[in-house]
Amino acid sequence: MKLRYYVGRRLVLLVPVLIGMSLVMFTLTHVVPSAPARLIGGPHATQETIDQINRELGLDKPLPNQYLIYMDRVLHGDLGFSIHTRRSVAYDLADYFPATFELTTISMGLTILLGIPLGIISATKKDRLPDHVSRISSLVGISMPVFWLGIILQLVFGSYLNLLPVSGRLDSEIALNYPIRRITGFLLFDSLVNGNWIVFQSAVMHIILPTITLTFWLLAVVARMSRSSMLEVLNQEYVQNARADGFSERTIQYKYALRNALIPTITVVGMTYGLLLGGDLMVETIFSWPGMGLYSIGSIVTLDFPAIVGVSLLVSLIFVIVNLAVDLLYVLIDPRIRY
Amino acid sequence: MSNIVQRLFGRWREEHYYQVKEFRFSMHLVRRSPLTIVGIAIIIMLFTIAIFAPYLAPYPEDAAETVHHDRILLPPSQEHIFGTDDLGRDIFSRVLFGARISLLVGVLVIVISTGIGIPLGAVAGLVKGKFDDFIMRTTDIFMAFPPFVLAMVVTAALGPSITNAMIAIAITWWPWYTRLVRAQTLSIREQPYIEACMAMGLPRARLILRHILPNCLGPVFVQATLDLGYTILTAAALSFLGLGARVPTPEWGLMISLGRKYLPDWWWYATFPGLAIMITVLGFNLLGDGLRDILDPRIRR
Amino acid sequence: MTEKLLAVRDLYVNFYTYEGVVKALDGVNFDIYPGEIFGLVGETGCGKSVTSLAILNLVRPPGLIVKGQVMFKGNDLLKKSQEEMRRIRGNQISMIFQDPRTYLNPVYTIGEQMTDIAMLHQNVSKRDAIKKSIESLALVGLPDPERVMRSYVHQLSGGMCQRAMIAMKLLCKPELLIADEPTTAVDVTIQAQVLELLRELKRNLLGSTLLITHDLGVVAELCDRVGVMYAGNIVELADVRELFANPSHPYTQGLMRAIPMVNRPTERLETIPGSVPDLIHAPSGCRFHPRCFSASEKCKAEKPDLIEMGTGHTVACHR
Repeated sequence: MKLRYYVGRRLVLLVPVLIGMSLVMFTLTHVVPSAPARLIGGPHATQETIDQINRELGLDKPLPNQYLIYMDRVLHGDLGFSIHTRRSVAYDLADYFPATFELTTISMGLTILLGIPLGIISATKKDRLPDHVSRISSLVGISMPVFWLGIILQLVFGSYLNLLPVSGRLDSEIALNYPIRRITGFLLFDSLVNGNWIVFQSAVMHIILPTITLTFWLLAVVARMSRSSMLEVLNQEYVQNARADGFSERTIQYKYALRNALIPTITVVGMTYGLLLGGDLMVETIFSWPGMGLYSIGSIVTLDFPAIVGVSLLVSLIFVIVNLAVDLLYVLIDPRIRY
Repeated sequence: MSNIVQRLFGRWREEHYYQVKEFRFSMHLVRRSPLTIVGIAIIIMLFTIAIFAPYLAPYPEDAAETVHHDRILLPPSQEHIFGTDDLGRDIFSRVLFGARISLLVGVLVIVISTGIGIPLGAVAGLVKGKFDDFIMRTTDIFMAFPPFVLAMVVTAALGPSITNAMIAIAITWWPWYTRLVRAQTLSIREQPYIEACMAMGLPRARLILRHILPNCLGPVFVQATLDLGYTILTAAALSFLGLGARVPTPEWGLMISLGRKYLPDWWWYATFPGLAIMITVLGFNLLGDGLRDILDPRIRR
Repeated sequence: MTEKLLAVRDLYVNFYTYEGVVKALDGVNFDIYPGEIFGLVGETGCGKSVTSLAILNLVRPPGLIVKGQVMFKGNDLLKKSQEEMRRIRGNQISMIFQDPRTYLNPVYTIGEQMTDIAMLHQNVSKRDAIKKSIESLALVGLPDPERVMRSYVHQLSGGMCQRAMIAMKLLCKPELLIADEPTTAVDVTIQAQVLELLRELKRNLLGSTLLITHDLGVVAELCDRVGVMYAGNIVELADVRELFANPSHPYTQGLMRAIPMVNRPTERLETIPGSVPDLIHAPSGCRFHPRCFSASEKCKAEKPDLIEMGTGHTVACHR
């Protein structure tokens, strides 16, 4: 009963935050010197044409009005029309999001499976060889520019060894010759459901390098986090108490210390997931992965305002929702927090 | 003459006995941690390179807009350790000059973010009330944006340039410092000695400056060091996307982006700047980690 | 004389730190007999807690037990393997700590923690473990034990937590209970309850208790025999009445004098001059000699052994 109250309150608080964010985004993109009308009209457009375009787009009205009109449309599902893709922004988002989701979720899954145990073991075997190895690789992992790693991987596995494809989600020929019915947009899932083995294979091959690139960095972050929180827990008094009760080190580490250590780790994991769901621009650019990141860059570089605002809204919304989910998860795991 | 100096110094040492002792303990801990030493070494090397780039680079003129048609895309060799780029410029020299830019960006961004964040956080934590609420809402809104997105949008809005990238990153970063300092302030202000100061009527400004801030600074310092690395990474990423430095600036991220076109045959163009970024950020991370371990009160017994 | 339950002989414990070697325990000797409450008194930092950890062989780096014997029912605990010690810890020898709120795991319920201990040492089914836990909780005077079983640490008050901890440690009916400053972290009313509880338990359970405290009042109330510790040494050992009647060691005398008495008018509180010594550079010979009002040259040179003065009353002093 109290939980529902808490959830409800958080959802309600979501609204002012979202409004605030949309305001900021909107303002940023509209008080900017570059005039979108001129972009649409082209360099040779006359003043008349520009004025006409401005009127059409409603850009000649004062800013607050523009904002209200825009928000009104958003609430009806109309996010505007993207200038650089010439499709509705909403359609674009629906198209690009699954790719990002697929990549992010798989990477995150791998990271959780590998990274958390890595950090924990590093903490329990502190200052011994596994710890040193793990710490140094994690350090390297977070220091390396993600986009550079991607390039190197492309170089090694794509060009020199010629093992794996380096761009896109599918070979174009395969996509053409073996079309599948789109169900969710998640290629791996859809192709399996469709029974389309060839597409599945191709999708898997294509997703390997981007996943490795992303996971490398993620692993480093998560391993470090779980190591440090585990170390902190191992220094707590209740661990000493457990020793005085006669529990073996292993039991203490994996039963008593672990749950306490997981709590902060999960927060970080969740937040990072939320961030990445907005699209990892670096990885997507390098591998030409048609996800939210690529779309964001495309919009920003072409100053495609409807798209920019639309993407920003969606990305921020996802981020905020995931944060809320993490907070709720937190409440479930940590009995100390009850609202 | 030296007698007087010695006496003065000795007296200072006596009065600050505990600080000196603590400091020496810190140095001891540093010595025991080889990774931290490596980090410090890297950073010293970096700053040296940045400052003395014109003297260290074999072809300093290549850092700007020059073209050498006869030396285009040469592989690494004795004359050109990192090879040359598509305009015949020595990549090694450009990488050295890139250190200047990256370090400058990093330092400036941190200075700005902390310059805004720390005072705001301290005041918010001390004063509480409406002001505090206002600051908290503002940071909430800024922190609700995924950091990179915000930086990107700001840069795009202002137009791509290094300066704008710096401003964008600083805008993204300051809330974290505010939050950090505020949290620290909140816990410090509960201490009895602060109450004593307030009871004595110490003016607020002095309270903040002499009592609260010095005690906050530990984690802030660690965070700032680590952030120096991340800032450089972010700036490089922005430049890579075309939103930061522009041609012909020898910025590392930009060089990688340009070098991409020449993969895989002319691999050196994109590879070495990336290596430079990695080593730089690694240095800051090592130092930051080391600092965090040293300043951890539990290790200091 | 009845068989000793615990005999600590010549216990030396060092801590190796950056600043030097801290000689925390400098030859500790005392015995505990079955069915008694033995008090270990001393100022903070005199080594009481270290002694208790050493008994359970829980001294961790940078600390090290360099020498000594801990004879429990005739077996030297320090010679046992970790595996063997684990069977004893929590089972035959249990330890209660100072602040129950930080020494109990915050993310598990009391019940979970208790049943874990029961199942670990007693090879019982979960259902039996739960039953035993509830019995134990009732024994310590907690109303509504089922609710406590389901509660988390933060949901209980300080006093309840302390009782729960005691219940937890008594589950396996240990023959020796080590209580490390159980009254320090709680307020006075709870203190009284805890003391009453310990007294009750002593009556009912026939085990011994090693009570570590810095409060002479607690000692007077509860203990049968007392050992006074100073800077890593036991300086005086006696029955509690004998100790209060005839404190023989200068340090003990100083402690007694420092207690403000209600019926004796005093103008200033008496203190023992000087301060606790730095254990890295401990004073030579008798460690108390710099503060002792009747110190002699011999005190500086030689460390005194415990000499028998009367029935069961030993003092480590050259006078």
